[in-house]
Amino acid sequence: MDAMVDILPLRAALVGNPNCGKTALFNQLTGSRQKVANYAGVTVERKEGRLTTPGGRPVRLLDLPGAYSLTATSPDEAVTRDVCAGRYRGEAAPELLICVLSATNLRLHLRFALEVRQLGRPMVVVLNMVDAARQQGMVIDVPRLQQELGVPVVTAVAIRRNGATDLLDLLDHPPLTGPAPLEGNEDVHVTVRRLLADCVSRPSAASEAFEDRLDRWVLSPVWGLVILFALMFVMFQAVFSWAQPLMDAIDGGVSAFGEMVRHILPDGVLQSLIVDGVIAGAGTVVVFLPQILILFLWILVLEESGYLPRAAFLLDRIMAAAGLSGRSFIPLLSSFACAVPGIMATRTIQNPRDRLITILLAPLMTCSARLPVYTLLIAAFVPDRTVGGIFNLHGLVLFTLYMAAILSALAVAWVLKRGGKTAEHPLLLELPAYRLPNLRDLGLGLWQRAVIFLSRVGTIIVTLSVLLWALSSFPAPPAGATGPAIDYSLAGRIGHWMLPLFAPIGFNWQICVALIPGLAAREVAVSALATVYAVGGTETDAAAQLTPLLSAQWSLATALSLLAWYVFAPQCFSTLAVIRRETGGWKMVTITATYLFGLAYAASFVTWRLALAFGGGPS
Amino acid sequence: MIEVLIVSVLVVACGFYWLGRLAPSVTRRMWRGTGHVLEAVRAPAPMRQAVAGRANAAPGGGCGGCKGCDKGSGGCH
Repeated sequence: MDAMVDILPLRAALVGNPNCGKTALFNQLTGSRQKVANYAGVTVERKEGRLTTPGGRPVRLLDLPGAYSLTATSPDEAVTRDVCAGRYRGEAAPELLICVLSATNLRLHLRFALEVRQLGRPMVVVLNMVDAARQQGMVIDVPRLQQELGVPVVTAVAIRRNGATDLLDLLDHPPLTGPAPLEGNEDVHVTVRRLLADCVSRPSAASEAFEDRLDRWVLSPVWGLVILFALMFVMFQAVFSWAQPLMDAIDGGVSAFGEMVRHILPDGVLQSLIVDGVIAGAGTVVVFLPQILILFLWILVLEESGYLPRAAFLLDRIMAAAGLSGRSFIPLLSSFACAVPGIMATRTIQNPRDRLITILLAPLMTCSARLPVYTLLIAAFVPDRTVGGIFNLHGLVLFTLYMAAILSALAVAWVLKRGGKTAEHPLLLELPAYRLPNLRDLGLGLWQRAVIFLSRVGTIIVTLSVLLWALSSFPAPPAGATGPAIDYSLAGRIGHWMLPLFAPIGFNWQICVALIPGLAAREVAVSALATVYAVGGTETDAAAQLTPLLSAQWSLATALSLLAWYVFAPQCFSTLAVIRRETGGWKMVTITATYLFGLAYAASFVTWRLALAFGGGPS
Repeated sequence: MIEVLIVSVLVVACGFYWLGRLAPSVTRRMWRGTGHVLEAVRAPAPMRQAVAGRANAAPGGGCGGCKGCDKGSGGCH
């Protein structure tokens, strides 16, 4: 029987306050690469991993969302509460609770540890970030803390290699029984104060001064906003300026590859499929990889540094004016990378109505999939020159598009909030310590984004390009036909059939065709346009020539109208699928799709008409 | 003729890939049917196992058929 117990994996769960380093510890122990960042609320679902201790004991480890208390106030905290209490459906209660505390914030985190302790389950306490605490001048008497808490206490630096060896050793011989109840009937706050007084030497005021001085600028209502806008502005300038040499290199490589394949394969249907379908389609999107990586580099640096929660704090007043709480900031900010994790991050919002409104707004944030569409059209229609001697006009237009999305989201929130009163939930936000971004984590984050982007190109975009090539090539024109062959194809017919609906907003039939596969993911529209123009035209290298081709064939009004469409249109199946999952039905999906498509059509119509009025129409 | 055959196979494979993403229950039924055929013709065991694996594959835990969050990478689709 004892042998059986040894073989069966130990079920352990990581619990703790948000941003105490649970996921970093989970990654360190299990070798996973779950997302970590220097702000609260990154993990909103339970994650599971496995590890083997140095003594050979298998452990099944759960990483739970951070919680301030076991009295849950939001859906993500409810997951932690239910798992700890053994009430989570399909999940037996953990045999060991690993309570992770940030050594730099013991006053808050010890309170949660005492609450977990009251459950009476076997537990250990991990003092994480002891290196940061040491840098701040804190001295923690670990044996004394262990004695006072009555549970094993170990230290860790979860982001450092081999930073959790003490915990691994402890998992070889974990406590089998829960701690005895604390003596007396002391209030938890009094207990925390006593523990801090007995076990922790506080840092001197001077060592805290630098962060405080920085926060005085960063959180200033005036200078803080100036810094925030300057950061965003430089970010979009960098997306265009830094990426250009790499994009030119990839573009050249794709063109050369297309030419090589064209010479190797004989003229015919297979050559057309590979060159006009796959290379023209996927090649045009691959070119945007450097821009996407630069955008993510900025986002990752801001995440790791601890700046983002400060930006949330700063924007709380502006968001409150639109009827949103500051808690919506992190989900909306995550949506700049992708709306899917952004919508999932709304689980940290307590108020159900606020949560629904944030879900409705998330698709309006400019996700990275829009970047190829924006960049293509900006490069084709906006002159490449500097403004005021330093600012790149392309970057300026991109910044404007992002701002347009943000302002639209605030306007929509304001309108939605007028529909009903909600209980006020003031923003209570934990500001993490500033941290220099870890180069290894940045590299890993960028590598993951590159892999995700390239696997999307290799699966979604290549397969859709092949299908679109088939639809654009067949059926062949009848004998004696005089028009372009693509007009007789299925795609051509679908495009012309859709045209009456989209002509009032300035779209041509090629755009109509590109919108259909573009429903799968926004960037597919770029590859679809490349394929349609490659099959329908005489160009030998549509992948490289799409930008000049569009500037020659489209009017400025059409390009602006399409940009306006992409600011609003919910062209992403995954986003709609996650809304269905998070809201548990199709009602919100229908509402989201209807209002966003309606908004997209109206914005494109107004843009098209205004552009025509100002002389941007076809010449 | 060979070119047409290769192109047809590629286009059908891409169509099947999208059918799997948009309607996974339909493709699972198709794989199950293929499995029965392979059993009947006594196809090699690895081939039958591969088809059985696809027929009984659990749907992705992520959204829109995405399996990004099932993997250790933590990547979202």
